[in-house]
Amino acid sequence: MNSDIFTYQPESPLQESTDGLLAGRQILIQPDISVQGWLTDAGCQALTGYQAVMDATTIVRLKSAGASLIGSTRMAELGLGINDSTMAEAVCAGHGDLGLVTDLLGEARMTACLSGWFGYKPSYGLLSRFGLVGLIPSMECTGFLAQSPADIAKALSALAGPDENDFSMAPETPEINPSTPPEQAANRIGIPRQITDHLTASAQTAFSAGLEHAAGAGFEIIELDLPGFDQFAACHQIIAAAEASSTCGKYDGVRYGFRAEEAQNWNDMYIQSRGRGFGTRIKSFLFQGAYFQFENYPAFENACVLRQKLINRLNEVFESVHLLALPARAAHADPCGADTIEDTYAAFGLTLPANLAGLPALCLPGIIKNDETDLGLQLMGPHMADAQVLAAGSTINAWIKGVGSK
Amino acid sequence: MTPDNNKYEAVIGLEIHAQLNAATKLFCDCPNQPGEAPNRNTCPVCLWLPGALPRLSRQAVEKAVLACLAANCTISEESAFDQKVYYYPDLPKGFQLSQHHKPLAVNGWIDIIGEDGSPRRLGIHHIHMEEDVARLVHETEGKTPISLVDFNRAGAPLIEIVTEPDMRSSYEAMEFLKALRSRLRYTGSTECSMEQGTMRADANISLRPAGAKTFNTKVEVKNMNSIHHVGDAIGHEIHRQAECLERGEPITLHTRLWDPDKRVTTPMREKFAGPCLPDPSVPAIRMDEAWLASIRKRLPEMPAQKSERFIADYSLPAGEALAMSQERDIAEFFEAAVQQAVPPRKAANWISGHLLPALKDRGLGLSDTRLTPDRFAGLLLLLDQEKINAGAAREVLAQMLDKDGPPQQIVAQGGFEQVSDADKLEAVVDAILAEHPDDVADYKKGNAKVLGFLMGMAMKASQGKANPKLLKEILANRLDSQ
Repeated sequence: MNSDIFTYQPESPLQESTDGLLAGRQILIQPDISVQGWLTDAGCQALTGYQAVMDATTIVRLKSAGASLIGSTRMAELGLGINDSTMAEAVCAGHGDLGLVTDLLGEARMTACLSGWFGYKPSYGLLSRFGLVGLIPSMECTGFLAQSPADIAKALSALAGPDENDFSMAPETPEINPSTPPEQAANRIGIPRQITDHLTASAQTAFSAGLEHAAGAGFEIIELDLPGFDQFAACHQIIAAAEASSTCGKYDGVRYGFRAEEAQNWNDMYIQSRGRGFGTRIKSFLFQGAYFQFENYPAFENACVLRQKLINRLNEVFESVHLLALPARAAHADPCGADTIEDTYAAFGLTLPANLAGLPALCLPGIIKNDETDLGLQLMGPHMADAQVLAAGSTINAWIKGVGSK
Repeated sequence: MTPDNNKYEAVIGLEIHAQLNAATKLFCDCPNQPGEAPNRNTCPVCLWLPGALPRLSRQAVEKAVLACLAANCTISEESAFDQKVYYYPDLPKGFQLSQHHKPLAVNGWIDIIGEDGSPRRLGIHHIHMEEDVARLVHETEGKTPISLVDFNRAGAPLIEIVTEPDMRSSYEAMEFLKALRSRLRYTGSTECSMEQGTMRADANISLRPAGAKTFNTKVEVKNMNSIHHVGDAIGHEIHRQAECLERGEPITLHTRLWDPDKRVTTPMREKFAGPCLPDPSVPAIRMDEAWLASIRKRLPEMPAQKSERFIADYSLPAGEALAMSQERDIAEFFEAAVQQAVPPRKAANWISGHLLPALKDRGLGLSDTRLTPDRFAGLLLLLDQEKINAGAAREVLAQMLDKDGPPQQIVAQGGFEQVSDADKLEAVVDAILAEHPDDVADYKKGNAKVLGFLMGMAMKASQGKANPKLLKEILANRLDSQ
């Protein structure tokens, strides 16, 4: 059942119900979301051959909404970045109506830039993480890839909401109504001046041109200051690496996954299994995390304090504007070829603030084009203002379509 | 070389782990029963399969809070779990969930009576919750040695009680443990048995010149499986350190294992100091006033207060009051029996003198038997009303532990009723006197001891059922009138 695109494809699509919000929708997932009996290796050697023993909450809800699971596509090791990800390829080849892409740094939004579909990262705590293999528990979130913001809203409303198996979720979550977008109240979009440093001149021009569409759709564009924008990446990296190091502690070869068989004793088995279970890029990420855990814990503590400051700063900004807009990627950093942690963070520098702060963020494709590279228009909103973000995306999309058809 | 005992002062702190008897493990719904067939009580969460998330047990938190209240602690408004990172096969996820930065409760104390008879208040620095680890079984026999892991215990809820370095002798450490155990057991949150492994105590010990205020390097001693072993191990370690100091050897920070057979401690591994990171998946415990009040309501009267009340209300002597208040089930059993109009001292005497030894012989706890306070009171009332005699009462008590039935029924079925019919007893006495003419003659000659012998023979002839008072009276009369 192997192919260049799929990690796992069932003999026939997995569908339990024929009615519901997502009736008949064909869903692509990645092998980091548990579906009972499916290979769930999260693209990682340490999980070789691991089959999930239960369904993730998102899967349970997809099934009961009438969706049909058609398979899982290849993914970057443990979901960090989009190296080797075949999700964009899959949708471009005509597979599926909706893709689930775990978003740790901006993977769902970056896949949107590559596929021409809309990419979305929901608010942290809106979707259950139960059954998600995961790497960075305080930042990661199941993201969506779909052909319209309305499709994303529909999927989100089917999957969102409290789950007794995930205690880290918000105890109450707002309703996401897929059919009627909320009133066009959110009409002020802020542009942080600080992002100019991250864009080439041509990318800046493309971004400004893209914003014309938002202005045309009736949004007021306001330049503003977001001091400390440069600190998001370092802060994300320190906390994420430390969390990843803890998360990967369970891949020891004792109960499942890859085990180095030739080891002479358990300590040797640990060292060899863990030494060979991870790829070079993830291994260096785990080393960084172990450094902050064992050698420089104060830096980790500082990063936690800084994280809260950055969140507070974003909250202040959202007192004067409803949304923030920025490109999803800078033209010069290639997310697909990011072979080192440094390259990976460079490629995702504009998407990762939403992960660090737990905010909802939508990427609209095809609006900001720098030569042939789609930089993606990213709309970010306050925590749990998912409906507002998706409604704004719908409005801009509708206006562009209207212009295009004229 | 024997060091002068008064030259140094010992500074002792304890770290005590107690297993909470919550129905489930701390972060999943698996039964909290480590003793079952290996790996039977496991699930994706306690095996930490990919995708598993911890679900903190409310019952475990409440039981832990009750235990903290019994140790006079202040409950933190917010406490949280951290990841204590280390790699070992008994730890399925590479870290142990424990409360390092924000413990559940702080600033407690336990009162004891010191060796000189004066009261001593010993401080508790904090109490935190954590999960237990799996059990490892190393099979070294056979061609290839193998290690097996039993995850039944992995994730079982524990509390760790960290004391202040307030204890100065092994006696104080033992008294602290006894008082703490008694109070914790009272809450019903934990069984606290060192012998059965539901309580473990490690001791940190250092010495300093008598009168000094500073602390010296401490040594940790582990692997004691009874309160007495804790006392022995501390005593031994104090002696060992004193000898080191006398020889001019420095004390280094390390851990030693107590060997109960050889009665020595031997050095173990270097003390591990791994990082502790806040866990992102277990939300902080926010203990608001309403929740805390609802838990506080379930805190029973503590043994020391009970003991004072038994002295005041039931006029028990201090020793008996202490004996009746050490264990909550015994104390409640005693009071329930007294409510049935049994004289308090009689109830206390029969509980300490007959019931508890009988339970100990059988290796049973009170709750393992069919004996209820009502039945026990019924028995003592039969005795009090002279329907049965003391010997019969002991026998009936033994039978009540082994079978189900009220004392009246057991007395009737076993024919234990006391014979107070004077005609019947006279016949018994006459027969005995007829059988032992020589002894009767002895008595007549002034050997009063013979009376006891004849009394015993007559009681035996009545199959132990004779009203002893009446029997003695009849016997004495008959002998004197012959």
